[in-house]
Amino acid sequence: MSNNRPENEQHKQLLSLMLRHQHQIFAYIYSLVPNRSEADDVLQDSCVIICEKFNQFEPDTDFVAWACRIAFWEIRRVRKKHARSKVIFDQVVLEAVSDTASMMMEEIDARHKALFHCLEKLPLRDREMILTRYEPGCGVKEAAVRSGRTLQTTYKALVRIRKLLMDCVTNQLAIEGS
Amino acid sequence: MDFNDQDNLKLTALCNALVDETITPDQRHRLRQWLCESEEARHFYVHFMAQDAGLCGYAAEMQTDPADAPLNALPGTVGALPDREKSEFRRQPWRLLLKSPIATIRASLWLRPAPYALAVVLLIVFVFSQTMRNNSQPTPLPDLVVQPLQESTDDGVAVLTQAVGVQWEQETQPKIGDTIPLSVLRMKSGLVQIEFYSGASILVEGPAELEVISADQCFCRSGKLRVIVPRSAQGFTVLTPEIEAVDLGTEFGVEVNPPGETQVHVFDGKVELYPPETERAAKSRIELLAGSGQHIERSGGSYMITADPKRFISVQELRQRRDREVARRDALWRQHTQALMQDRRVVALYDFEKEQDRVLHNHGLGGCSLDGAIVGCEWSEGRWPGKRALEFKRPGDRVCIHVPGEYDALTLAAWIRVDGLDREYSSLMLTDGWDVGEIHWQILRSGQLRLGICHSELVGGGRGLGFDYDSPAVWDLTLIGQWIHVAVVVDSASGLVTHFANGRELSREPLHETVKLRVGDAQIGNWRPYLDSLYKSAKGAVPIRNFNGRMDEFMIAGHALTNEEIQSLYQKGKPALQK
Repeated sequence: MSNNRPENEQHKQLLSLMLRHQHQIFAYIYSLVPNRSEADDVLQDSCVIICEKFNQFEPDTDFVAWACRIAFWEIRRVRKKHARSKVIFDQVVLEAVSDTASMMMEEIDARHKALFHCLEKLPLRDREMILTRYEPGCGVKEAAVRSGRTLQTTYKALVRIRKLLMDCVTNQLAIEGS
Repeated sequence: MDFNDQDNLKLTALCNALVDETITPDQRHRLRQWLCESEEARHFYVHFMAQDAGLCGYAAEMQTDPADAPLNALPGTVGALPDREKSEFRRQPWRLLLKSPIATIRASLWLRPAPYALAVVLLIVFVFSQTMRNNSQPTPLPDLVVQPLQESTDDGVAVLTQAVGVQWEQETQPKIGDTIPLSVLRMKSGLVQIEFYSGASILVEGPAELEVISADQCFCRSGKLRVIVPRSAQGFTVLTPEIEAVDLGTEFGVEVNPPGETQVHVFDGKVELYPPETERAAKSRIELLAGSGQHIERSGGSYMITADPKRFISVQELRQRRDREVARRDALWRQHTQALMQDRRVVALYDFEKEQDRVLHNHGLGGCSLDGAIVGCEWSEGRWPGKRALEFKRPGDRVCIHVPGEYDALTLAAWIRVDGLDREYSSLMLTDGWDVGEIHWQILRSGQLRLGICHSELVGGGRGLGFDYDSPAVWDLTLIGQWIHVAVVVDSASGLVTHFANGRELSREPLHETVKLRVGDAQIGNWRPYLDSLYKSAKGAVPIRNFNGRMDEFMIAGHALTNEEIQSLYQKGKPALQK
């Protein structure tokens, strides 16, 4: 099922496809493996397979669907290895969520773009809280310390900001759609 | 399950607890139930998680300031990293990333910050650089394409044209059709015919030890040879420990017995004998004419004898012996085929024997409803004289079959003779469609066997998503024109796809996804994609993937045959019997 593109050309194609779509692939993986570092590992391992098998990808077909399928296989492989892993769902949930997520890839792409617009509109204090909470190596505790809040109020603030962003993105898309 | 505002709030709380890692086992259980039971809940959940993924990426991107470092490092430089760092990179791209100025190129590469973009870029560069490096090493098997700049070379000086009941006493086991390079051939028993590129041919009777020195010279250490030298090959020389025999006529025999004595018998024409190391000096020459011979002792002393043609096997005798062996070979194969016909696992078995019409008869469980329709192909000779085969040559040549049913496991096996891998893909058997569970079995130009399985439908329609399971390369130029047994086993129970050639396992790869396997409408030796598929090019044409060669047996079993059974298929069907 493969095609016959020169290696250099393939390399460029793959880079451009990954740059364009990896946020969707990562979102897909993260919804099935809801833990950042484990999702990272799956993304990296999937990426190795995607590179190796890229000559089997038919240009002009759905790259995200193809790459997500590889990621799905990788998640299942990892799940088999750590059958009792807390962070990975069981097979029934995996398949159900995977089916839903696969159909939402375009929506996810659009919302991803809107999300950055909404982040810019956040009050500075809220934006800083998000940056600290999601900075690699940090977490809720650091966000609490740096913002001078208690852990409990930090959790509540995060819940509030996430809701704010979610609503902002939905509104943003509604405006763009109309 | 209905999904109201109340539910929305509850699910939001669960999702927040999940990403902040405060989720309790009870909450986890409730989340699981939501996700199993409600499409709306899954939809909400995926949005929530995608947003969280986006936030991870946003924070990672904002962490380093692009203005901090120069933009001079490009991703291509990863290939130049020391090995230690490469392996570190493979394990933990982040660590290296943080150390590397390459991190800063992101600002020039994309407009919107995206999570992990850089790690992925580096990974792609890394994996590709590894692949390129591997590719730059010499590959053991040449590509089978005719490449004008890299002409293939032939180190042979002769061809093995007949072999009857041969037992070799050496690691390489030349078969009929093999080219013989400069080498020593040791036979324990049996008969072979070797044709030299000069035009001379020899019949060798084992036990024998023979060294092929050039296209017009061989050294016989022991054994019996009949040498046939046409006019064009005059001067063909046989060396023995005691003598140098130069043929000036047409036919003679040479025998070197175990003590090392040599006899030369001339049947036709003229032969000159020279003792070793005399550099063919005229005074040391002995001339032998038809009907005469010479016995040369180890001491160097010699005496005349009368030529005895019966001591040496003739071409006619070789043919008779070969015919007897072929008959035995054929009988054994028929017996084996009868047994396969009784095997209820064998759905389709095409023996390519009845030649009177354009139907390829099925002898498997599926009966005549699985008979194939022959299109284009012509009948020709198979693995041994008298065995029938179909020749696939032109782009239209094919056999159309329909094999109903769904299978948890499948075994495909065929005896084929590849005459050239002149296309990107040479079809063995391809299903017409590419729906879930359908399979494409073919040979790549590189000489690898490939089984593609369609694993799942593409969401939103379009072509199915498949995975290709490839073997290492099987064919190189020396195997072109040779009969080879190929097989592939797909087994859901073991979760493996295994390729075989001549009964030997070539590769096994885990099955990515378990599906019910189907053949349905399919083509042997060619491909007929459904025309609504994406294969159609802009001009409405489909790529040509016809098989170039012959096929004289094809089997489909609805079960996974064991390695021993595949080995037995090869042993019972291989062209040359061994004693």
